[in-house]
Amino acid sequence: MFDKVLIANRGEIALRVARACREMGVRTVAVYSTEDSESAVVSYADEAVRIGPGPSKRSYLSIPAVVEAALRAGADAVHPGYGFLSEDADFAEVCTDNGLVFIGPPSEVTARLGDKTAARGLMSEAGLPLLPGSLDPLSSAEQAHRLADDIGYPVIIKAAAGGGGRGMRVVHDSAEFEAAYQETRAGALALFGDPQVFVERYLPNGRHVEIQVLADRFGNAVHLGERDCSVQRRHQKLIEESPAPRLPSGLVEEMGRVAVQGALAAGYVGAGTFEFLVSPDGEFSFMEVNCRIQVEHPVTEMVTGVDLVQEQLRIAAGHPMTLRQEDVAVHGAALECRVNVENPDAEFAPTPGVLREFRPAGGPFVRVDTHGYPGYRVPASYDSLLAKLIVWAPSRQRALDRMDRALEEFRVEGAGVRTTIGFLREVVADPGFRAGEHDTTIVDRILRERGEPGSRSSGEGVSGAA
Amino acid sequence: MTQRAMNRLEREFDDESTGVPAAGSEYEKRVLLDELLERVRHHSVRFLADVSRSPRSLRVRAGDVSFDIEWSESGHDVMEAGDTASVVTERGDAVTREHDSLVSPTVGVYYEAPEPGAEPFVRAGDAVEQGQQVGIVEAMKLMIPVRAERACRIVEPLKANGESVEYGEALFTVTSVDED
Repeated sequence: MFDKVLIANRGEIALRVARACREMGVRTVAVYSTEDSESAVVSYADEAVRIGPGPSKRSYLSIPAVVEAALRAGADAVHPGYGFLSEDADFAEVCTDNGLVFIGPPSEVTARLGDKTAARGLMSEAGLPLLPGSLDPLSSAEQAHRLADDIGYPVIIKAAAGGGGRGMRVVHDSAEFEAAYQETRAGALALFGDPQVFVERYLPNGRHVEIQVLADRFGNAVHLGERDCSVQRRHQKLIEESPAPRLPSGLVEEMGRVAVQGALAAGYVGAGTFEFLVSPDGEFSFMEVNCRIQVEHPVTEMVTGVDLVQEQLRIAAGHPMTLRQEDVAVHGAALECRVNVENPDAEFAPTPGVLREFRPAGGPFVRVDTHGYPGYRVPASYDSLLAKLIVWAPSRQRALDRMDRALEEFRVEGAGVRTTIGFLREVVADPGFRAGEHDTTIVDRILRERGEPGSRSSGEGVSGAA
Repeated sequence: MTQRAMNRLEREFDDESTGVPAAGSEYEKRVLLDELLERVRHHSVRFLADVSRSPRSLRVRAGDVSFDIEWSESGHDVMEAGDTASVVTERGDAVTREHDSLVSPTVGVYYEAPEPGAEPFVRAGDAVEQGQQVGIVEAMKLMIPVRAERACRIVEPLKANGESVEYGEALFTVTSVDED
């Protein structure tokens, strides 16, 4: 096992990884920007290294700064968390070249799967079902347009280098296609530095279901069931759960089987996620592979009892996986709600600031992964995720009741600070969600039903944000 | 290291570099680096002595060497738990009572114009209508429009473009239109 691991991330996930390390007797090195000097992981980790100023580009995204910190601290491995450098193949490679173990898949696997077009081709060959769409890079607008006409509308245009729900556009009509194509290319270039896009059929009423896999470097791979992440706004997940409610019997087993097949075909090593879209009639299609630990990994941990971050560390340290497919059993139901500092009454605009009060939920079968504490100043430079509230219960209905109770207990107050807690309670109480009959349109429907956008109030003494 | 990673590193160096000739041996590089650092330090100190207002951050770059200093902002540099919140609230409350300011809707970075180099949304003396956009505050990579909560006239912009702002902090002093 490693002696010392550098955690190349911030926020709740940095703390989550540090805790896994501590339980395994591995020393930890946190890195932080000047804006994060008060961050929880800085005081929790055995050592902390300041790697640069607030903007991520010059701190958490700076490969030289992170690698230099790891070398000086004498770390033997680097855990990238999610976001930032976690799926940057070059970072993985620079770590390896400097004698640091990168806790994640080999750089060439990340590079191949990170190109969405290449990943589609590879998974199609491995026997995974795909939505009708492009398998090769599109050479021209005309070619893309012909393809879209063949597929039939609506179609979705996505950035090949994209991810995280950004850089995509839905086209409902052939006449709109070429303008949307050019706009998505321009957006992809601005966001990801690569204008390549691909086209596939768009399923407006699909459900987002993903399979967690673990694979070691000896050719062993297992899946740990599914997570339903259909509660999203603007392609950002708000609630995740396992098992996925109301799927046709045998579907998860089949998705798990092909995900393992795909992982082996790609030479995958570590924890990864295969994302699928499930149509209303129960057909599933491969979307993409996420080459990292995901935000929502705790729901899988709660129903399987497997600590995914510790598994990542063991696999990266070169241990053969002891977990076999027949050992993986799903018990009960788990849900995760993302408590973000955002204003649901103002189109989820971020509301960073100082937390005058921060009192997380507690009680039986409740887990809170957070870097928040009373007096913490949530910086404006990073993302709005403040806490993940996870509950477990023997059944989904009881997990929903428990989640409602836990959300009610969770208190976050501060000047200008708003959170998603109230909105999450609305979703948890929604009859369609409770029945498990929802799809990815649920958040828009609830927002539509709760009133006109014009009804939002501007808080006292505030100019009001759109 | 593969060609892909090499190319990228070279690209990043090109972005940063300003054309200082590359030195030969490791020793020469080290000497050059030390000299550069010394010169950068010297210039920084001289520059700091010349400016009247103390800056929040300073970045000086020469060749491959860059030098970053950041100072905590006065007002909330101590960061005692709870202190900042009450300071901000008091400030916000004062503003509300006097009805003479437009304030920031969130913690973030203030921008006076829709894009770099463009005309500012408003200038001193401008009359603005209720709901009219007067600025932008960037928080968590989102550009949040700041709108006038009532019709008023701008007396003075209080924040420079790109400056950090607190929740409820005054961005403009204003007078009500009927006082004109």
